[in-house]
Amino acid sequence: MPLSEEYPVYGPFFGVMGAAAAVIFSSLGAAYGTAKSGTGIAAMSVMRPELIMKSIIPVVMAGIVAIYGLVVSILIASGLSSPSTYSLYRGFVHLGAGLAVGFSGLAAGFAIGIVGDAGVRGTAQQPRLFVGMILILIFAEVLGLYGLIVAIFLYTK
Amino acid sequence: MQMVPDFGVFTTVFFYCSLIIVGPVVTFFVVKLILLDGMLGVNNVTSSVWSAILAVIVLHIALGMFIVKAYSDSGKKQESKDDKID
Repeated sequence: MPLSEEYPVYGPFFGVMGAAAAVIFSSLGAAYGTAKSGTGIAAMSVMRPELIMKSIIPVVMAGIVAIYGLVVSILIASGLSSPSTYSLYRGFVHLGAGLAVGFSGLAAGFAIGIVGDAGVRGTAQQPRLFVGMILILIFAEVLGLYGLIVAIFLYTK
Repeated sequence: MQMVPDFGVFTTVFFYCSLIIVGPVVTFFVVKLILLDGMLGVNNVTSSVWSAILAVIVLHIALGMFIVKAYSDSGKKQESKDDKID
């Protein structure tokens, strides 16, 4: 079957790159968030080990950013097929979905890492900071959720 | 005496973390396969999108449970720590 202009042999390349970008950049952001807030937790726990359970929250939120990327990556990967049935347009859409959730996850992971580090150290000295830290973390997390929403919306096109 | 609360905290954190990690993935595949094969014969894209949305909702419910647990639990811890200082 000859491949037309609309169904080129390199069509799935864009979809594959979208699936890879979704999980790579989300994991990059999640890794930064985990490591940065992990150093804060380690420094804080030396003096206040009873606060560890509260302090784990930035790490969990950074992990959630990676789950966003994983979900979109699975979505795109389940939509891939051979070039004869996979149009170039779908490849572009899948690439856009992967990049949307990937870079949003990267941004959210960076924000969670920096906020988590400072927030956990501050919570050790002033426990009432905890509510503020959670709020800031949720607003950082929502950045990744926006990327996920746009990615799912693009995927349905 | 020190060992038991540490183990309790570890068990709680481990339970919630495994809930947050495993829950959405299990939800995604269970909902997708049930939607596709079992009850509704919806097409691939629709079932994928709805199972992804449900997985994210389950994820946030688990996260909210963890935050509530951490918030309410460390309030108790605070008082026991005051006792220890005396």
